[in-house]
This record gives sequence, structure tokens and C-alpha cells, in this order.
Amino acid sequence: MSRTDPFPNYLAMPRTVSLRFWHIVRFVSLAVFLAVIVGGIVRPTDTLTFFWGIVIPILPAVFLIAPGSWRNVCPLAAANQASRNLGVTSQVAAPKWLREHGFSIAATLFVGIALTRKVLFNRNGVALTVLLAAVLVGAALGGRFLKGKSGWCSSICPLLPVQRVYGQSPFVGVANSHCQPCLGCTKNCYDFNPRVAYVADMHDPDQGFRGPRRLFVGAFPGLVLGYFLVPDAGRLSDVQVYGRSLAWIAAGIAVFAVLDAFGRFSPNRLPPIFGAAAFSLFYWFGSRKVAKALGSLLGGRWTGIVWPVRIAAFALAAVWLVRSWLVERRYVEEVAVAAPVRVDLGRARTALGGSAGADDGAVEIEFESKIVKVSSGTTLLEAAESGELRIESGCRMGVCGADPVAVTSGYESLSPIRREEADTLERLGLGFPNRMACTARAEGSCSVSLQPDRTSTPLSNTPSFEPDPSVRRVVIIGNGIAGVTAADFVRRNHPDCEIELVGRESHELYNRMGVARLIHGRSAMQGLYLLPAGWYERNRVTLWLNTRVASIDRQGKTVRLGTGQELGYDRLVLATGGRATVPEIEGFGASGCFVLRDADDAIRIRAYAQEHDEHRAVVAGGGLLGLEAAHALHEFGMSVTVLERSSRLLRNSLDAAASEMLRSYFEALGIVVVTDAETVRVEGDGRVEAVVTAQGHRFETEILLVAAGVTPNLDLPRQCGLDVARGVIVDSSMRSTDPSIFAVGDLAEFEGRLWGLWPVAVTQAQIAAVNIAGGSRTYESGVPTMILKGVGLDVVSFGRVEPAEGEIQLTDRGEGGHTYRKVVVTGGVIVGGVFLGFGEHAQAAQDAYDSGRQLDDDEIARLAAGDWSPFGGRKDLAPTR
Amino acid sequence: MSGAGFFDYGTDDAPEVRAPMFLGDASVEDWALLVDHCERRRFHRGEVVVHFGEVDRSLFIVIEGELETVAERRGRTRRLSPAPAGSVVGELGFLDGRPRSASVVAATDGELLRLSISSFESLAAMNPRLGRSLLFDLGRILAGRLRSLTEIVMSR
Repeated sequence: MSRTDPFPNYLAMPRTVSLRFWHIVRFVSLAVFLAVIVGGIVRPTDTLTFFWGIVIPILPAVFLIAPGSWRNVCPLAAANQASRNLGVTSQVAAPKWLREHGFSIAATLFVGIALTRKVLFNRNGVALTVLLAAVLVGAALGGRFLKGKSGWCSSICPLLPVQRVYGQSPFVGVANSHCQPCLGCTKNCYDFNPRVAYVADMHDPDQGFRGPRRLFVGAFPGLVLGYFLVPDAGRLSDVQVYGRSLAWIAAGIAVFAVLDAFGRFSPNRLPPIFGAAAFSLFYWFGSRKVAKALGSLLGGRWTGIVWPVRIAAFALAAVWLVRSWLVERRYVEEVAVAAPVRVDLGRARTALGGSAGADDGAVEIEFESKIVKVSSGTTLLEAAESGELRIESGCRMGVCGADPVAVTSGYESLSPIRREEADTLERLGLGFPNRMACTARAEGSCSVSLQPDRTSTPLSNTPSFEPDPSVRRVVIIGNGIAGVTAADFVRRNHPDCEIELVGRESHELYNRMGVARLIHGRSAMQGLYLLPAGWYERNRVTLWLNTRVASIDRQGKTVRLGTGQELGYDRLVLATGGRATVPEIEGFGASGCFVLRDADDAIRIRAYAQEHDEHRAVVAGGGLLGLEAAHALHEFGMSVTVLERSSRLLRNSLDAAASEMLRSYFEALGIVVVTDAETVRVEGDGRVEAVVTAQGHRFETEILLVAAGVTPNLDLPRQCGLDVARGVIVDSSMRSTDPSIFAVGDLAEFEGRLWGLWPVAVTQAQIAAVNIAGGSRTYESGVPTMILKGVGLDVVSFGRVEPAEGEIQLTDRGEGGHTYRKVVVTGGVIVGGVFLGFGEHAQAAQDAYDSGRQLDDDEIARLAAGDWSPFGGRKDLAPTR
Repeated sequence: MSGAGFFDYGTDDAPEVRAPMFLGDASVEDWALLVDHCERRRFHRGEVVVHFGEVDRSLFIVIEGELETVAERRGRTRRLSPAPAGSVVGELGFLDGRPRSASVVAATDGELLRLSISSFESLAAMNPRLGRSLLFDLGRILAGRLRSLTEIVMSR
């Protein structure tokens, strides 16, 4: 450890002397003690002189310099701990009265014995013997019945109050050699942490605890002075001796109380002053008594020691005083600046799966400099995000291409590449060892670079058909994912033709699914672009940005651009997508009204909110985009209300239970969700002040964001006479009613359905491209996967979410009421599912759904019992019921 | 002001001396949810885990090893307090989003959990009871510090 602990406890203190040594010394001290007991009767005069004149005067110095050594050798402590060492102690916890009043009893005993010295113990050997025998028996009995040292040494030992005052800043630290192990018997235990125990007493918030201890130290110098200044009994009556001594004590207490009341002192400023005073006074007077005792025991004159002892005691007390003050300062810094805040590591480690560091359920992923530990089955994207690394994310299903990474080692420990991911890697021109972070799940440890390896050989599967030589010129309108995918796949399958790509926006391909992040994120468009630099040039795609198509001439097979130029085509792809739907809302268009579809929409919202310092927003529409936008505005710091026209959120994708949970999740975030609320009117004079619903409710707000879905851009197909219903009608090869014109993505209507989803656009564009280049592929409709992301709770649904006749559903609610998993099963095959959270299970269930894997009876029985291990994941955290 | 932290006897039935616990009532399931929302990462001796002055709204829980808070004043590094395994660090920046008031350096190799404010938000939405007790515990800790500081100011 690079740092020394200012207050090490005895377990952390260096042990310079072995436990065995202390045992031996303890026997010696006990023998001396017994000798004094016997001597009190046999040779009272010498014994009294030796005990009161030599032994007792040494103790304060020992307490002040190396108190721990006395704690280890004290014969009474040896007696107290004998029962524990012999294994016969009852180890009962000290009763409440003893814990509360132990100190007061000890202090009273000390004062009582000290005062009685003058009238009895100093002169009467038998009395001394009785006193010492009594405390020995008391100490031994305390240890016989009570736990640790709570029966004597740390509670009622009469010397304890003195030890605590003098021992508060030891010059020599001696580790406790008794308590092996610590039983935690005493509050602020002196033996546990000697350097901090006294100052902790003085700072104790409990007046009842602190008070007697302060009273004692206040009384201490008066007690010492009184002892030496009040004449011995004989010249005074016993009552006078007690009375005058008590008067001295009272005088000391009075001084302490006055200073304490009027001085603005920290709690342990005065006590060391009084301690140092008591110590100096004791040796000032006591030195003469010691000299006298030595003379009477050993003969000769010893008065020469008086002044050296006085000076040494004074110097020692002065240094000790400063040290004690410094201890308090250090203590205050430690406690005030960083009162240690602890957690229950046991539970944390259980949750982490076994002891930290040796975790069998976990895998380590090394991102260049940073190692992130995650449970097996976590995607590289989740791992990178949990490590707060800079990584973009988009669809989180491997199709958008936002998050390519290079796997520098451990490639084989990742989940296999699925088709969507392979296609995306191809589009990006990336092969081994690159992966899409969102779909690569780590089943073992690996090393990952967030920069894809561009020197890799693309996976590229050479086309299985000859390119159609009649196709020389391909024009694609739309630079979104549908248009770019179409261009990409035409080029792959047809190396020679010309490709012209015309885009309305002024951005190269970006991650449209990430635009909500532009509202609250700091990095604007940075990281949102999906193609590597030079992609268009490398693929020989002529790009027209910020360019509109004015008209299409089907007879002449030309496209006229808004700039006046004309582009001839052999095949034309319409990939113009859609625009945000704006339902009939009276007053829409006032300043503060927005839609969210393009990156520029999001940028405008962010700019407006900052410019006008707005704090309230209403989002009309509780669909995917509406919820993402609401979350983004919430993250931006606005108070957000979502108005949903229907009776619940994501009505088409979620079952009622999941929908309700999603709603309560959003509400728990602090986003207000109102269902059955159709926005019909904007109020305000040129600027949004409120929106009103058809139901008559009024919501005050400064921003209205309408997220009511997507309306296909059908002007061009209508203008050139293609069959159009809700979208451009296409067959399974993605051809419109004109065989030279294809339509893909958000504006293509196949079998009456328009999805408006990114993965659908990608698939359709690939199919159209293959058919254009001379191959043949057809589109099969299915219910695509819906994923809500970026709101802190991943929501996934696929297939049928409500069971039809004869189908069964297996559902499970996670703890906390905001996670949920459900699959719909018929004949052992999964036909749909809904997941809130449980990302790994969602992926596994979706894989089973995609592949049509048959679940066996055991797996179904386990799922029905709430055990989702058939879909992987950690069994130890599976709910038990 | 309580110095109870210096008297962590390591026994189960120590009388009235336990340091205040953060998430003392949380179950293993609660912890699992918390861990799910945390970044878990290893640190190496000498590594600077939190930089003075950076803006980073997150809370750290030391799982293994030891961190220490250090302050730099007039070019001298001063160690403020150790944060051994089981400590919570960084609550001020987590709560107020202002620049970090001190750096945190790894005293040994070890491992920590890091909870960002947005992860906390979603955690609290998923399990409001847990979110509430987390905030209450942080509040309790800060209240304790404020009391201590008040006491110091009053006693000067």
C-alpha cells in the first residue's frame, strides 16, 4: 500500500514482539502482583513503600509513552483473560447498564481509591492486600462471565479512565496481544485502535457517552493537586480529607467547565491540556515521593532525581499535548472529509457471480487499454458501452453498420456471424477479423480494437450469376440505407455498370436510427456517418447530394434533376423513403412545432431549445420514434409529456402487459405518458404555448414534437404514373409496375404492407439489386423485429405477440416490474416473442424463431416454470418460485 | 461526528459501532440489477481513476483492492482518504454534475463498479424502490458529512 493509515487498528499494527514473549512477561507481572498481595500482610511497610512509592508512580509514564505495553502485561488483564485462554468463559455480551455506565463506575472507583489512599491504603498493608485481591477477583470474574475484555479491562477497571486520557497519542505503539480474535465487545475500543479511541470518545455524538469521560478529565488535575496538597489523615479528620480533596476536584471541574463553555474549542482541545496538567503535577509532587521511597527501600539519598524527573515529565507532557491535538486534527480530516461509506461486499460479490476476480460466469474483453468484465453472452457493444468507451450504436441488430470493430484475439470465442451482420460487414468492405459489435456476443475472453481493420479482405462472396450486360446505367434516387444498400449490392454483382445516386439531404449516409441522440448528445453528426471515407469513389458510385429529382420520363428512361441535368437509366431504383407524417393539427407550424425524421430535424430541435431556454416538451405519438424522441428530450433536461392516440404504447408490437410495463418505466423516468390523447390543436400566438387534445385536455408546453409515423414520398411515382396505393406497389422481386423501375424501403408496398423499418429496407434493397444485376431473388414478407433502443431498457418484439387458438404463451415478469419475457409457442416452435430487458434471452429466442428450432418438452416445461435457461444466461439469477 | 469507521471489528454482533451502510437493505437480486447497470472494470496500481476537474456524473463502488482520494495543492499531492474494498466514491459529482473536487488514484490493483447517472436513471425507473434507497443512502451520507462539517465550523 502506498499510503500509511494514520489510525491503524491492532490487526494492522506491526508486531515487533511475539505473542509468546507477552505471555511470559504477563506471568512475571502476575507473580509480582501476588507477591504484593502477600507482602501486604507479611511485610507491610516495605510493600506499601514499594507499591505506592515505586510501582504506581511509574504507571502514568508507561500509560503516556507506551500504553499498549501495559495493556499487554497488566496482571489484572491476565486474570481477566485467563478464562478465555482456558476456554471456560461464558462469553456473555455485557448487559446494557454495564455498557452505559461502565466508565462512570470505573472513574468512581478510581477517585474513591485515590482519596482513600490518604486515610487507609497508604498506611495499612492488610487493606492494600484486600484491595488488590478484590480487584484481582473482580477482573477474573468479569472475564469468566463476560465477553472479551468487556467484564473488566474495557469497562470498570479503575485505571481505565487514566489509561484512556494518557494513552490517547502513544509515543510507542504496541499491538494488543490479548484479543485473538477481536470479539467486538466494546465501543471505541482502546485495545482495537489506540490512536483514535480517545478522540473518538470526545467526538462521540452521544452526550451520555461523551459526558462522563469529559467530566473525568476535567476532574483529573484537581484530583492530583488535591492528593498532594491536602494534608494526610492524622492532621485532619477523615471527613476533612475527603471534603478538601473533593473541593480540589470540584475546582478542577469548574475550570474545565468554564473554559469549555466560553472557549470555542474543538471537542478534544481541552482534554489533553487537562491530561498534560495532571501528568506534570503528578511528577512535580510525585518525584519527591519516589525519591523518598527509593531512599527508604535502597538506602542513600535520591533527591537528585527530583528535578530531572520534573523536567522530563514536563517536556514529555508538552510534546504529548501537541501530538494529541494533531491527532484530533487528523481525525477530523479523516472523519469529516470522507466518512467511510461501506457496502455489503458479500451481496455485491454474489451478484457479481462468485468472488470478484475469480469469476467463472464472466469474460474479460480488452479494449485497447481498458479491460471490461462482463457476463458471458454480452455483446461487444454492450461491453464497450458499459466501459464508457466511445462507440456508436444504431440498430443494435447488425444491419446499420454503425459499430464495426476489429477482434485482435479471441475471434473464435465470439458468437457466429449471422447473415445481416455478414451483409453489413460486406457493405463496409470489412472481413476477418472485423465484427459488428452489436451482434458479436462474447462467449469467452477476447481483445477488441474499436477501429476496424481496413486492411482485411472482405468476406465477399462472388456472385453466382453473370451480370446482365444490357444493364449499363443504374440510377438510384435516395441516399438513405435503402439507396446505399441498393448501390452497394448492384456494384458487388455488376462490376461494370454506371451507378448514379441522388440524395435530397446534404449528408452522406448516416444512421437515421440514431438521430434522436442528436437532441441530447454533444457530438452532433460526428459518429453518425456510417460509411468509411471514400466509399462512394471506391465503389464507383456517382453521388449527387442536396439534389432533388424533378421528374421521371419512363418513355425516354431519363431522370431530370432539379438542377436541370438529365440522367439516363436502364434500371431505376426508387428509395426516397418517407417523410414525417403530420396529422391534422390546427395551428401546427407555429414556432416550436417540430417533426423528427432527418438529422437536420434533430439539430433544429436542439438549437431551438437552447435558443429559447425551453423546459417543456410534448411529444405527440407513442410509437418507436416518439418514445425515443421523448427519452432524448428528457435526457436533454426537459420535462416531457407523451400523448398517445390509442389506448397504449407500441400497440402493434407489444402485448398489453409489456405495453403497460413500458409505460410505467417511462413514467418512473419522469416522463408523463397520456394515452387516448389525440393532439388536435396548438395554442399560442406565433409560438407554441399549449396543445389541446380531442378529448379536451390542455397541456402547456413550449415545444411540440410530432412523431406520428412516416408518409411515403409518392410524388415522383405518381408523377410518372406507377401504380400507387399507400406506397409504390411492388412484386416479390421489388419491381414496380414498370419492369425497369424498382422500389425499396419505406415507400415500397408489398402485399399491402409498408413497414417503415430499417432492416426491411436493407433486405428489399439487396433483393432489388440482385434482380437488377441479372440474378434472381424474391422477397418473403414476415413480421420484422421491432427494437426500441436508447431508452435504457431494451424492448424487442418479433412474430406474433398474442397467441392464436391452440398456441401457448410462456411469460415471466422480472423483479421490479419493468422487465418481462414472453414467447408464443405452437407445436414446440416459437412464433413470436416480447422482451423488456433480458437482452440475451431475446437474442436467443429470436434466433430460435428465425431458424424454426424445435423446443423439446423439457425445455418448454422449464420455461413454463420460469427457468429460462433454454435461452442461455445465468441460471443462478433465475427467479425462484 | 462519528468515528465508528475506525472500529470496524469485523464481527457480526459488534454493538452499535457499524459504519453507515450504503444499500444495506439491498438483496442479492437488487445487487444483480445494480451490477447490470454498472460498468465493471479493473484498475491498476497508480492508475488515475477520477481526474480532478473532469465532469463525469458517475458513482464508484470499490469491489476489490483500494483506491484513495488525493488532492493537489501547490504542486504537492496530499492523500485525503483511503477507499478500501466496499467503499463508495465520487458521490458529489454523481449528484451535482459539477467538476470532480479531487482525483482518485488506485493504491493497489483491484476492481470497481461504475454507475453513470443515465444508468442510474434507468435503474431507478426499473426498480424505483432501489433507486429511492440508493438516493436516500447518498443523502444520509452527505447529511452526515454536513453535520460533521457544521460541528467543525461551530467548534472553531
